[in-house]
Amino acid sequence: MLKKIFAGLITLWIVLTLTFFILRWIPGGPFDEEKALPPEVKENISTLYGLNLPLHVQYIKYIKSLLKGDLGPSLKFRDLRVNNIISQALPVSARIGILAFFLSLFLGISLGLMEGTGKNFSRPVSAFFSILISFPSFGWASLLLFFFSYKTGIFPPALLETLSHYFLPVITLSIIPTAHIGMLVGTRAREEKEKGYFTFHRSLGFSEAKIYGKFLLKNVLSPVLSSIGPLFAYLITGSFIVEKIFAIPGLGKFFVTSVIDRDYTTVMGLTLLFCSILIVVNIMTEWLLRIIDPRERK
Amino acid sequence: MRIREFFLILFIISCSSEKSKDQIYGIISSEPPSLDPALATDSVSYLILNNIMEGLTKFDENMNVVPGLAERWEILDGGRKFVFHLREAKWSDGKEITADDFIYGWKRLLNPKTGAEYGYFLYPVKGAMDFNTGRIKEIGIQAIDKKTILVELEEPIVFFPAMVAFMSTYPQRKDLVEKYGERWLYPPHGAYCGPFILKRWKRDYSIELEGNPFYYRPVSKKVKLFVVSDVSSAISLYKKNFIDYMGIPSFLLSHIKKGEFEGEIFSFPAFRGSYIGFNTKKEPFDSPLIRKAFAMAIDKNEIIKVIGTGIPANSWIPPGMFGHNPSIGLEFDPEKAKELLKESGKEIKEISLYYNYTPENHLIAQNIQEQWMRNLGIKVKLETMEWKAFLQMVKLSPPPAYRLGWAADYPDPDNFMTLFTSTSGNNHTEWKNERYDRLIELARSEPNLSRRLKLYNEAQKILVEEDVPIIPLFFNTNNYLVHPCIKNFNPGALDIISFYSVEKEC
Repeated sequence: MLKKIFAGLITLWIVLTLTFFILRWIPGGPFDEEKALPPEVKENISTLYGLNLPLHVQYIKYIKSLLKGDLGPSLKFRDLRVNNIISQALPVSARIGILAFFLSLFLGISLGLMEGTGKNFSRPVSAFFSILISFPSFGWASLLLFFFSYKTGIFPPALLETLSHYFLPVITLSIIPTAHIGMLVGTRAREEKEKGYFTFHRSLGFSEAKIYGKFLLKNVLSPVLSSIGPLFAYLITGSFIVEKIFAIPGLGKFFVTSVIDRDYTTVMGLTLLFCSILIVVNIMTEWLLRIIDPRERK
Repeated sequence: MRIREFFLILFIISCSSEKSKDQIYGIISSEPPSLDPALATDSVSYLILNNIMEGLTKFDENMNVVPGLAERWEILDGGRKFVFHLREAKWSDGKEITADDFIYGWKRLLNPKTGAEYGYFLYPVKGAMDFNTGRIKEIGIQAIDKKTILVELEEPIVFFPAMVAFMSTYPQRKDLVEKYGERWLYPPHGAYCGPFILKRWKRDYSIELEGNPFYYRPVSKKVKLFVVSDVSSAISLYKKNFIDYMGIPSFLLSHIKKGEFEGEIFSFPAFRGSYIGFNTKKEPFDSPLIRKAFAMAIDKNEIIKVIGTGIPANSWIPPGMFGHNPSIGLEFDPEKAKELLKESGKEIKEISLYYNYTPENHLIAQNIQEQWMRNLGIKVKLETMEWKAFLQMVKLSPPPAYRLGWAADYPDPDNFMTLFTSTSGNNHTEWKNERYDRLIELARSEPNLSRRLKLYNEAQKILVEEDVPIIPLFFNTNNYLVHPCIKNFNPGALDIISFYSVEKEC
């Protein structure tokens, strides 16, 4: 376990260093706009943010403040620090992301089991997955927006005012993960069914419900568990497309806009955040897997 | 049963968005990066600040300079000095607005430690540039008394009163800045000198404004603006009556016009122009003959048709601005263009046109590509780049031909014409013309309007008829969907909506 955490920290440091230097290597800076700044003004700003120091000095300064937990000032939102941006936007993304996470888990697993075990449902469900997955999420967002809001007015088109505003973004965000999980579960369930223990347990007199609920589910879930780690990290940090289309004040947007704006500190902060969440989630799923599946405890 | 109830509740909630008559709902396309007049640079911040703050002067709907917090002003010493007399007015917390608030604000903008991007805006003020680099401690602004400000400029500028309507020159409250830093204007502690106060600000989501009771001509109105960057969502919000107006990018206009919004679409001419710039030091555009030929081989009306809106441009000062003269400029003449090309004696097979990718820019570039092929028989390679990378390239090593735009901060031709002087940091054409520089300098201090017009006419002729370092393409329009209930909606040529005059009648 300790080894894993240590490896995680090393990964984090490598990602951080690479991001730092690649960012500075991309042409264009945070204060390049259509109206060019006179050198005097640029000098003032560079001094203020230490952008005119040698790159390695900037790097060391950044690491130092990072160790104190300070991600630095945003270069675009000049009254905010990157810590502020994350603390105000992450909860919004996380709320929607967690709802979408559980929804896609629930739908994915139940539909997947239907596909893998049910005789009559198999084909339609599997076709349904193919439809879900063959369309990008911005396409789904537009479709849902068009039918459920623009045409029928059942749900509000955008913003986050009431509960009903959560509906379309959560659905949009869940569609593709649902199909992924469903297909995974379906395949595994089909494999499991062909294994001997099914007949064996039946002959022992276990009820169908118990066989499905206890033995099959457990065996099907362990591969799901190992793949939902990244999914969870992705969902709680927000999605650019969903947040843009539904005008949600989440963090997902910043992953794209901060790069466009060359907001160095924000890009760094978000990369670090995403990377750390991913590492933590991966360590946790591994740990969970070991509890569920004794074979993993090597 | 439970699920059905749940949906029923959702349905009821979503239908019950009651709207009141005294509240205007709108959208802004992005979150204002900062609402500190010293740090704000973009148009969304300007829109908000312009409604909650006020400068010495302001603009009416036709972009004339009218009194703002200064009720009158005097021009002394041929435009080298200005005396502004403040009106009796208060901040939204009841404190008096004084000359010191302006002096503090200007000095804070210019203080090198503020790191203000728009610091250079006040460089015309005496000593401002040296103050901004930290070399000196005083600038040419002083309080004669509590209500009178004397401003001394480096050189005479006749349009200085138009400049002090801009957000960077707004007064600032020392006590609040010292306490709250760059967040001094934020609710709940902020104090405002404009017609509205900033009631609530949910970052990246919504901004609520409310009439400022201490404003010298107060209105009781409320405005709520949502941050919506996606146009299709905005259209849905508009159609479902969640918002009363929205801006539409021009390339979408043609799609919308056919539809259901007849009579709700408005286009306002903007002080913003698009042009093709040449690197006049690089082959093949180092010859004015060739530049002229390329300029005469573009029918600008065709571009307008392709992008759906805009005013074709042959000259560079936009319509509605002093100095606009549509008779100046090279007309579309493909025959003459071919002749000029022949006359130059150069054989051109292919050129490259650089631009940053946006749907609109792409349409423009494709059309120009087609026209140059059709009218000159020259192949055009389109090179797209990402915005910031494009900017850096144009600045450090300008390509032979590129597309750029320019927008005015204040309604004076100097804003547009200074752009191409030899010392301008935004002139990427490598073109330098002493006569042009001199004319622009003279026009800056020329109080006589007809003489000033003559100077600009002459300068424009050099720019777009003789030397042709640029081809003006068109002047933009700002396009809006506005609900029939909304009256007096006019963002003006600077595209800054003043909610003070907007009325909602149903």
